[in-house]
Amino acid sequence: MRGSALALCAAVLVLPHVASAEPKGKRNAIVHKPIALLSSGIAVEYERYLAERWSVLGGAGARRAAREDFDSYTLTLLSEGRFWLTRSDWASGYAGMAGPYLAFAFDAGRTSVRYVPSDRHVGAMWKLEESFRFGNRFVIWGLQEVSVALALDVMHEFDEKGRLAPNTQLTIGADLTVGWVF
Amino acid sequence: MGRCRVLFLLPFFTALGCRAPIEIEDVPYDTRYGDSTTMDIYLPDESGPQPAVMLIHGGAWRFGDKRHFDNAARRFARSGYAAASINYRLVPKGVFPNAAMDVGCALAFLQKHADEYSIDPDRIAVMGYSAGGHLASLLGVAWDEEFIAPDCEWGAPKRPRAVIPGAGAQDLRERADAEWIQDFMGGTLQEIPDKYQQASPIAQVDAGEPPFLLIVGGGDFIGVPEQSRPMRDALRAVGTEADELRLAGGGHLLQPGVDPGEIQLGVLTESPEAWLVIADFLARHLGEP
Repeated sequence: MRGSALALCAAVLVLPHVASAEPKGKRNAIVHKPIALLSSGIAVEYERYLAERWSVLGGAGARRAAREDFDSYTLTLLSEGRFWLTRSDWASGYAGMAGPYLAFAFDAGRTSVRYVPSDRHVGAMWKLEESFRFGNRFVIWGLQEVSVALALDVMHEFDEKGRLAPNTQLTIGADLTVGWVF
Repeated sequence: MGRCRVLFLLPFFTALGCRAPIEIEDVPYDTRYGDSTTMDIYLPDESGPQPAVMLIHGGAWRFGDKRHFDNAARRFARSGYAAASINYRLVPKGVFPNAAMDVGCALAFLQKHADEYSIDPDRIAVMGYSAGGHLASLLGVAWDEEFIAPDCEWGAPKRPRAVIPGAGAQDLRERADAEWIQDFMGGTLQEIPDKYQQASPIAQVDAGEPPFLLIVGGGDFIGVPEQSRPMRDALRAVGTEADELRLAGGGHLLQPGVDPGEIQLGVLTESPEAWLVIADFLARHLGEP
């Protein structure tokens, strides 16, 4: 009996703190990546708030970058897990999925190239990418979001025809998203 | 492709462990100019003779180093091609035609030392980026011209088998007001018009040129991508095979990543589209390694 009373007291003390860590009503985001438009592409992601300070994203992208004598299609699947460094955005005060974050992302894409004059398939390549990202989401009017991130990327490439040896390369990148939280 | 295997370095990060190519650093191809005229040679771990790719770095003819092509050279070597990434004299010592003569000397060196490095001297392609793309183009169309004939001990080179200029200028006369071009040329277009014509690959196109694969970025505001199509058309007009890969969103040093919404530091020739086209081009013109 005495133990149950203590547990109840503890729950009463702890629960409000847990609840206050949750975002105020908005647990979802849908974003697109305007940089993709530069390479005749598109990339969209959906983000879901999971638990205190953690969220996950999934998305897809496509681009058709090759021009002149070549044509290409790239299809990509995007995934990312984010840890939010603060409980609220320092600029807007908006809580949950806002402000600075650290993320680990895994993307996989396949690029296929065609030689246009003779309609010949040139080849296809798989590219996998693992990234550590540091970014910040700005929330405007509690609805609109703009996120920027810097990334350290490890890329792996595999030529389907095997003419090129697989390759691993390190690079840095930058990411910009514009979308909505709801 | 049994040369590579996947390594799990961390719970998430993986890498590809491949049999390393044989690397020979700082091979002098012209001893008169020290480090400026050396090359790094990357040889596949296979018996030769192998087709080869000579790589020419960029940097506005003023900066840069052969190590810029490390990754590409290693990848070529792991894929069965020998690769040689070269230094050449930079401005002011590399003022035209010196840099172009060095590039010709480097090609002649590789052709003359083919046995030593297990290279097939008749299957050497030339690839460059930015200023190196310009020098690759010029070597491709003027390898037999007196005005860039090397004065080194290896003499004039034989014709390269294929040429891959990435983001290279093809007509210096069109950008003659740019200070970096005047520095490379050693004067203005008004002062030395003949030299500008000699240094412009498009002005040297003649019948019998090697096949060209031109790679440019649609978003390249540093280079001169608009000169690529006229060069391709000029080569085709004399019966030379020439194709152009133009990458939408590709900049001079920034490229879209796997995620099309991410922009990454890198050169055009490192994009998946470019690697696929380059592999196909080399296989068709140098033969499978």
